[in-house]
Amino acid sequence: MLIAEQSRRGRPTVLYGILAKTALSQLEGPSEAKGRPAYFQNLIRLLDLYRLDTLHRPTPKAVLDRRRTASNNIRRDKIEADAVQAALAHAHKAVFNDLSKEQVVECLTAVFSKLGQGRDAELASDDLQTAKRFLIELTQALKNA
Amino acid sequence: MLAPSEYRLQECENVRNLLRDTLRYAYFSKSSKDVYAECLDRLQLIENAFNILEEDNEDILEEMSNQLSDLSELIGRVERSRIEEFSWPFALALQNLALRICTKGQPGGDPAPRFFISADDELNSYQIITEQNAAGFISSPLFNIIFPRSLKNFVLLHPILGHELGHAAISAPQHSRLLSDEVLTPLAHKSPLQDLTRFQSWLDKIDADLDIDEQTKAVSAWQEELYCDIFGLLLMGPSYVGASTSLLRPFKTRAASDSHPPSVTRFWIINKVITALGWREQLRKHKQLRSATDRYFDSLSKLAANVPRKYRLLNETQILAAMERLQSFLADISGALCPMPDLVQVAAMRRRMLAGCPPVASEVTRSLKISNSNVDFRSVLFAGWITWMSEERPATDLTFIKLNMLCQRGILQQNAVDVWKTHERKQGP
Repeated sequence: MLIAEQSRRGRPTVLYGILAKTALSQLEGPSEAKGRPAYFQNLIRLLDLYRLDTLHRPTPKAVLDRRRTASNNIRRDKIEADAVQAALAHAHKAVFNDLSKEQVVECLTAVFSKLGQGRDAELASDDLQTAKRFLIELTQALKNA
Repeated sequence: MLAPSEYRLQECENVRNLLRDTLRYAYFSKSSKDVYAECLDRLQLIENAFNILEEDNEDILEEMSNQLSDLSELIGRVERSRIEEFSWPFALALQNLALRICTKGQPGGDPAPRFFISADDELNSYQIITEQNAAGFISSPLFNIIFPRSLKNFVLLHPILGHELGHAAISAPQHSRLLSDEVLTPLAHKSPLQDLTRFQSWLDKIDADLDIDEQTKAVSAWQEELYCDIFGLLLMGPSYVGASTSLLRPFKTRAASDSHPPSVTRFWIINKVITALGWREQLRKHKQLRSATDRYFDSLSKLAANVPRKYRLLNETQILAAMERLQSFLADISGALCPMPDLVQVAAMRRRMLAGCPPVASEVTRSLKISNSNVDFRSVLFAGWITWMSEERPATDLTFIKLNMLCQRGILQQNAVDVWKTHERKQGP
């Protein structure tokens, strides 16, 4: 194997940081840019994981797969999931303060949906700024994780 | 020497070529074209991200490299989804079920999952990989049903995929909370799976070798696995019993891993649910099915009766409560809850197979009037198992593979009848 197995396992903290940063950069470009809907749709799915508390859900193995997962990988996956959860909670608190998780996700999903469809003009300026702030806070928190 | 960014961009080009190479094979439906387009979209999303990211950030470069590598691996699976690689009549029937389950209650704007079915070289690779709850470089989530290549024609073993559809259902955001709160939690209530402390005390009794990280993971993973068995049983019907016991028994049945509970625990739970459903009593009402039905269900009940008490992990009342909730969940999705197989139909299919004929056939009168009966593919599978268990079968030349091929033909015939009926409805009287 060319590289260590640890390097081959994805790191959600880095991946979601890239997603948030790419989505932010999309907001600077034309609203009809190709790929824009996908970046925001993925962020909506990430918010769903946060809303449903399923960031820690183990990925099921094939029904007949009996191979054990190395303990350090189980630990690493948990640390990563904890860090993503904390970063989302940090961005939530920083932008929405005491609003409930359900309300935050509902609000951001509505805004991200419109941004994904290039319907920026339909958004109130406050909503757009809120979405941007959330993405900036999330990117930073994931970078620090 | 290539700079990291030059190397990655070259890799993107290489992956694009790999994707182009997949076009040399024939695939089985329009969804293959969708999956091809999805792979192209993902490559574009990755390339877009490469263009805006800092070139000297090693964490980012490594993650992007992983994403590209995952895409390459996915393309490999797409190539293994060509038409000769798996039983496509069964796959089509399963895909229809999966589509109903995963799109039920989905918010209007969400993209529907794109299905593809592939074969894998590993002998134990029955799996469904679903991305409905995944975030990454995804344009539309994919839903990949994987069959072991060596068992491609063994449709009587394929009902095990009902278990995998349970994982898919609970990972769908619109079902996740309901299934978690109303099925998983009650299922684990008053059992060692309720929390880590109880689980650790139980592990001491069976002398299992799981460290603390594995134990923590096992509590939630096992809850989901046991729920999936009940889900598979309700979805696929009585043929799930034959498939799951045949496939699980060759492994150490008392071994526990971080991902799966001991198989003996699963046999015991499956038997509890089967008993509560009353399938055996119903099916043995038909004289021609009685002895084969008894032998079929006896093989499970004997396994279950021998399960030591300490492996009977869940509370019986809680199993039944979870089963009832799942029944009503599936009943709300058109065609998902497996209907009780029609006894007369099963008996007729058994007779045909013992005579070496496919179980389903069209009737043609002297005046060339064609009539077809509606047969659920899950009834065909159960009829296959009952034929295998029939006293008369050893006297015929029906081997297990021949029987599987006959059932596969029956499902294919039924698919054709369904397509014809849809066509007739569209044409009108």
